This record gives sequence, C-alpha cells and structure tokens, in this order.
Amino acid sequence: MAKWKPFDQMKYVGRAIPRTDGPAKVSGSAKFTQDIILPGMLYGKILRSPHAHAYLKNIDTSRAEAHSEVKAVILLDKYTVRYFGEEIAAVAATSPDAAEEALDLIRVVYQQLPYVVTEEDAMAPDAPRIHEEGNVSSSARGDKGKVEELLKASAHVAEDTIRTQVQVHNTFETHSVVCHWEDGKLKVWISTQGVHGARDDFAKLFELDQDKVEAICEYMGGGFGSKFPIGVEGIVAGRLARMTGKPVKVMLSRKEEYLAMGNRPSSIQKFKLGCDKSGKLSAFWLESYGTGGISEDSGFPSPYIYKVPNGAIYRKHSDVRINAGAARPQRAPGHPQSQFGMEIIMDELAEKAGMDPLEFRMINDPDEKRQRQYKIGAERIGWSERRNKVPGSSAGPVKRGIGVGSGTWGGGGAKSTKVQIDIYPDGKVKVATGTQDLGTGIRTLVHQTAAEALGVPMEYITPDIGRSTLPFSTASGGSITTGSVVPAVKNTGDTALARMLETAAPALGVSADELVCEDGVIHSTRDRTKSIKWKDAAALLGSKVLSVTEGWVEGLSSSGVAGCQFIEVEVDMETGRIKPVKVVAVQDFGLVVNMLTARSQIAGGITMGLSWALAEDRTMDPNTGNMVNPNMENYKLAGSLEIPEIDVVIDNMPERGVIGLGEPPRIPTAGALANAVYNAIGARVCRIPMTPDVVLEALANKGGA
Amino acid sequence: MRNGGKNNSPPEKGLSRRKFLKGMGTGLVGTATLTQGLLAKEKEDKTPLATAASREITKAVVSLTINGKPYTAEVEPRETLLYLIREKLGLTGTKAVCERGECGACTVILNGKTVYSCMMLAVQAHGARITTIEGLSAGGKLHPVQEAFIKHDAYQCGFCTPGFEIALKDLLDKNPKASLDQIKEGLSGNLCRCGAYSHIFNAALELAGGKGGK
Repeated sequence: MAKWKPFDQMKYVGRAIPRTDGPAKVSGSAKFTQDIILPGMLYGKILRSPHAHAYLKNIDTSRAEAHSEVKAVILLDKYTVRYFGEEIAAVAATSPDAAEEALDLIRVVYQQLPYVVTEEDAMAPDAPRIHEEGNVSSSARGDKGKVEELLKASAHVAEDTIRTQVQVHNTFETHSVVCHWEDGKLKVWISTQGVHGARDDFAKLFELDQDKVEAICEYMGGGFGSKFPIGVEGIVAGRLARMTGKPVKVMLSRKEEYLAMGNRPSSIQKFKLGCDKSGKLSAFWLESYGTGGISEDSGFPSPYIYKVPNGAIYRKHSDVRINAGAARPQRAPGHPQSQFGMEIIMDELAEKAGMDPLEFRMINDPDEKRQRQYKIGAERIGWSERRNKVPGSSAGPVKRGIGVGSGTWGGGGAKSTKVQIDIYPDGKVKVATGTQDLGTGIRTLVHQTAAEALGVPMEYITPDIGRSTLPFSTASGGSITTGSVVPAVKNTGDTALARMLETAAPALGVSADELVCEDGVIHSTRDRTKSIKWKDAAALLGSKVLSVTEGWVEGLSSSGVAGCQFIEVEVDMETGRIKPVKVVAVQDFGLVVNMLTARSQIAGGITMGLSWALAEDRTMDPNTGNMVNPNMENYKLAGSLEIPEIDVVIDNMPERGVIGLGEPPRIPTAGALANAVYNAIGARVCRIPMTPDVVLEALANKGGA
Repeated sequence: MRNGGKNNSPPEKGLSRRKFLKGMGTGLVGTATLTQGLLAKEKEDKTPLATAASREITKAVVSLTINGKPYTAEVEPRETLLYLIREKLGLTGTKAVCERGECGACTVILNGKTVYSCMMLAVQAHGARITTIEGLSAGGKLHPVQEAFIKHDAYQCGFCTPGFEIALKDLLDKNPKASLDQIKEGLSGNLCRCGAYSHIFNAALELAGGKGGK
C-alpha cells in the first residue's frame, strides 16, 4: 500500500516551497482566460433585464443587427425574467464597446410583474408569488414540544436572533470564456473550477463527441465556488462563435458578477439554547430562514460542532425565494452562517451560566483536535491575561476585547483522479493531470509531490495541468483537490520510480528492489557505491519514453479537519468602528504539503471572513427591485487598512495524510470577531456586516452603560 | 482618501464612466455634445435603422512609449488606456477587474506616477511614458519586488498581483524605508480577493529593510 515517508525525512512534501508558477504570475506572463487574444476575435456581450420580474412581450433586435460592427445577435428563449440582471439576449461585435452599443439598440417591451427582494417581503401572507411552488419551502426535524419542555427544565437558557447577509463571490477574474471552432472541433478557454466538466457540458450543448471539445484553464483569477457551470456566458460564447465562424470572447463586467454570478445566501437564525448546571448543552431550538435569491439552497448545518443530546434538537429551516440572482456554492457553503449563529449563542449561554466562554466550549465540543487547539490559541492570544473578565470594562473610548470561534470541514478525495507521468530519455519528467489551479497552488503541489515520489530535484520535473485533454481530475470544490490530486501523483510517481529502478538495475548488477533514488541519484541500499545518476539511467530507455498512468489510492489522504481562531479587536465607542488587531488561527489539515501556500490559504480565509463580517453586503432596493451597490466602491471589500496581524499556527498531523485546506480557515473568523466585539464593548452585535452604525445601534440598545 | 495616492480624478459626478465615454464617442469633448450624446441614448429605440447602421467614429492615432518601446495605435476616442494596453497591444499582464477605478488591478506607472489605466482614455496617454508589469522584468531578470512576491507567496490566484507590484514598486521608489503603516496606506488603492495582503506586507517589509515576518 502506498504510504508517505516519515515527515522529517521528506525533502519536498511538507516544505515551504515557492510556487512553480510564481515567475509567470509576478511577471504578467501567466495567461488567464481574459488574456486570450486570437486573430479576428469578436467580443460577446449579454443583454440583461433591468427589471426584477417581468414578461418579455416583444424583442426587436433589428437595430442591433444593422449595427455595422455587429456580427451576430442571439436570443435566449425566455418569456419571463425573474431578477434584475437575468440574461435575455447576446451579441458579438468587433469591439466590447460596439457590442455594448448594440445591446442598447435591442428594443425589449417588458410587462413588469410584482416582485419581492427581501426575505420578509417574500414571506408576507400577501406577497406576490414568484415561484410556482410558492416563495417559501420549509423543513423541520425534532420534536418541538419536547425540546421546549427540555428548555424549561434547563438550568440556563439563551435566546437571540442572529442575522448574516448575502455575500457575493467577487472573483477578481470575472466569469470569462473564449470559444473557437475549428474543423468541427471546439476549443474553449474558460475560467472554470472543472475543465473536464466544462468539456462535457459543451459537448452536450453542441451534441459533439467529448473528444471534439478541449477546455483549457491554465490560470484562473479565483473561483470560490462560483465557477462550476459553463453558464449562460459559455453557452452564448459557443453559439456566437459557431454562427460567426470567428473566435468569441465573453468577459463579464464586474456589475454582471454582482447581479448574476452567485452568492452566499443570507440567514436569519432564531435560537433558544439551554444547558444544565454543569454547563452541558441540554436543549437546542432553532427556527431559521434565508434566501438564495431565485434559487433555494439557503440551508446550513446546526448546532454545528457542538454536542447536544439525542432527542434534544428541534430545527426548522425555510428557504425563501426572492427576485435576485441565484446562490452558488461559496467557500464552505453554509458553514460560516452556522458558525456565526452558534458561536454567538454559545457565548451568551456561557455568560448566563457564569462560565468562561472557552471553558464552556471545551465542555461541549467533542473534538479532540480542537480541545488541544483551544489551549494553543488561548496561550498565543493571551486569553487569561488580556481578555476582559467583565465585558466592556477596558479603559478609554477605544475598547479592546478578545473572542473565540471554531470550525470544521470534510475534504476527502475523488477516487476517479488520474495522473500520467512521462520520463524522457534525457531524464526530464512531465507530470500531467487535468486539474485546475484556482490560486490555491495545486500546480506546485503536483510538482513537489512528483519530486518526492521520484526522488529527483524539482528542476527535472514539469507539471502540466489545466486542460481537459489531460488525465481526468475532479472539479475543484469542497476542498477535495489536494486530497484527490496529491495521492494520485504520489501513487503514479511510486510506480514510475519502480519502473525506472527496474531499468537501472541490470546496469548496476543488482536487483531493483534494493534500489532507491535520492536527489537524482539511484543507488543500492546495500552498497552506496553501486549508483547511477537519474539522467544516465533515463538514457538507458533508449528512444522510448517511460509512461505511467495511475490513479488515486487509499492510505495517503483522509478527511475531517478542525480549527479555531482567536481574535483581538479595538472598538471605538464614539464612532462605532471595529478594528481587528490580531487573529490567531490554529488549523489542522492532516499532512501539510506546502508550508508556504498553506499559510496563504489560512490568511486568505481569515481575510475573507473579516471582509464578510465587517464590510460586505448585497443591498437590494425594495422600491426598484434592483441591487443598489453592484460595484467595488459600494460593495465594500476588506483592503490593506483592515488587515490585522495574522498569527497562523499549523497543527500539522502527517500521520493523517493530506486533506484540503481551501474552505476550513474561512469559517471561524466572523463568530470569533463578534464575540471579541462583545468582550470589548459589553453590547451584543448579532448581525453582519458589523458596520459602525450597527455597532452604535447595539450600544444604544444596551442603554445605560 | 483610499486610493493609495493614485493620480486619477473620477469622472463627473452622476455619470458612469461608460456613459461619459459614450458621450465622448458621439463627438469630440465638450459639454454640449456630451449632453446630446446622452439625450440620443434616451431616445435610442426610435433611432432609424439607417442611423444605427451608418454610425461612424472618428479615430485618433496615439503614440506612446511602453516599457521603453515605442507604440503607435489607432484608437477610438472612447477607448480606455487599459483597453489599448491589453486588447490592442496585447500586454495582458495589466488586469481588468472593476473597470471603474476601485480595485487597482490595472495600475501602471505613467510619466512617473501610478494611475488606474481604466480611468484614463487612451487618447489622454498620447506621448506618455508608461511602465506596465511586463516592464518590471525587462531583460528577463525579475525585479526585486517580483522576487519578494515569489519568496513570500504574496499572491494566490495572481490576478491582482501585477497591480500590487506596480503600486509597491512606485511606493518603494519614493519611500525606500516605508514603515508597515506607510505600506498599508500606500497599497490601499489596490484590492485582493484571495486575501494575500498579509503576505504582500511581508514582501514589502523585507524590501523596505524591515523584518518581513515568516
């Protein structure tokens, strides 16, 4: 069975190795989808609804077609649009500006229909029905009556309503596609989280054999869960390119991203949580709702990481549809919402029970890894010395506080992952798999892992990823890319090395099973003088390329990670401004493959969590049905001035094998921040984003203080 | 102001850049033609077919120096400097992210000052000397800013990276011993969605003689 060497004996896996594609990224030579420019290429643009809900009574494209620079106009077969920004038609023209002009020339007669753009409006008894099955669909589990009895019998009960807002992905590279038809084949450059899925979707759409489609994504400017489908932009790029016989580039605008390219749903969580005298949770009651826009999918797990006795859980959730762009998976779907609600209500209950919030968590969190991590994090943030024993008790108008929050995630790996390793007679090695690098660093991980398995310097190896013509690799979602690809590379590398050792053995007059390869030298473990350089051994292949294709195997990866974060904040009591000062993140993800890129993932997850907690908000206008802030000026993102000191503690557990890290560090931040704010000011802020007005309102409601 | 000291002033209040540029496209600069352009747009679904089809735009010839190399291009008056650099000249290292002066991904150095190239018309850059990301590693050798980005993993997806590097190069050229606070302020005109800020600070601090962290 395939296995890793002991951690301290590995030379490439587990080390802090700069990215293989670093020079390409820093020099601007990395070609993203948006950077593809082909001879004769046209630009596609999409006409979108200016109304939240309307019948399309008539569409006249003749003026657009008559535009001298327009080469094609297509209609998407629609009779109704259900959100501001829904796609209606598309054009291809010789420049983006001409294409946009042509959109203005398409005359659409709309019959506006009633709409709802807030959860509460959609749930009202007299709300206009925007979906055949109604605006609200609910499901419940647990015995409500029994749980209410248990709450009455509990020593302490905390009750509160906690809100999280809609978050837009905001990938820096907007959804982009370039389609190019040639001899009945379709070549597609697409910013996608799954090149093989994109190939299959295009093949199905145009009724082509799958080998007639090549999907390419060598570099992509972020995905965060929004880039699985080929989307309307992919469909129109393919159709416009086929109609015109020219390559067509569709590169969405920032505004289109905000309106239609997915989001993390909102949540409104009404809690009742009880514990017994010893602080053990005794009853959990949660009624929640949320909106994924025009789609469902606003659900989230709860009571999340905390242990509640069997039969003591009552949970109801309602998915609320509104006239707004649909949700898509976003970095740890559901978890940040769960975490934010649970961490606040846990803190409130700890206070009612007269217990330290950390001690209270340790009583109710059954995870052994986190039990250890809580101690590490508490030590580093100075929990016992620096935290206010009485919330809001620090001196001065700028108050300091400390809070804690946790998270969990699955990960795992896809058995279907394949890797091809080619060893050339000059000793150079190519490692190919069709995975795509969202920015997490998987290209570098492939490179390191191959070097580790083969025992040759990284300079001998070229990783080749990001094309559907390479061996199958799964779509990148759920933090499974590392757990899929790295074991497959290791296993394929082991086999390729064994074949190389068989090639070298006769030349050394020994049996292959006593040979190893280290630092590019194959030698006998019995007699080190019996050795041959990798390159000389490769020359023994003659003119043949040694090619090995293998797949994922068990034993090199696992799933299930734990992490917690401690945050210190400053809150200005006069302005309501929150300033995160320090974040300590303790995170487990099994065997660390690259210490450098892992730190990036963790710092990035924290930053996105802070941005969600402090700034971001998709604001819908009930009077017009439009999103009022579809730009980076008014939809705020965390910038350099908001970034605190970030102290990353990697809880390395090599014995577990590799586990993905993309999602886990995104989860614990917001809840920890909310609890730090409470510890600073003594008033609960139960909604995000925690903008100054929200903080001042919480202080006002607290009164008297 | 949170733009890292960049040189662009926003277009007139109440007008989006694109409308502004469209107004420009219908005639040459001037309030009267601008207003007419917007009025024409309001009434556009009554535009006779013949007018739509026979629309013509006067093109201008722009000469400029990018990364020490002279370029001459024919541009429409409405085209941005960003569009010229990327789509017409093929220097795609400079990125388009927000296209309205909010994120800094399109930052270039123009006549010694950093500018958002999405906020400038190509015609305004006539005669300018410009440095883009491709110019930082001229001669095939990476610039110290680029080396530091690699060493500190100061990027993830890499899409905001060229803009940050240009901004940091300019910042350090002007203030080689910048403090952490000065670095944060100087880079506040650039946004990153992957959250590479803390690693970018480490890269910057090392170049500024600070300790640079892990």
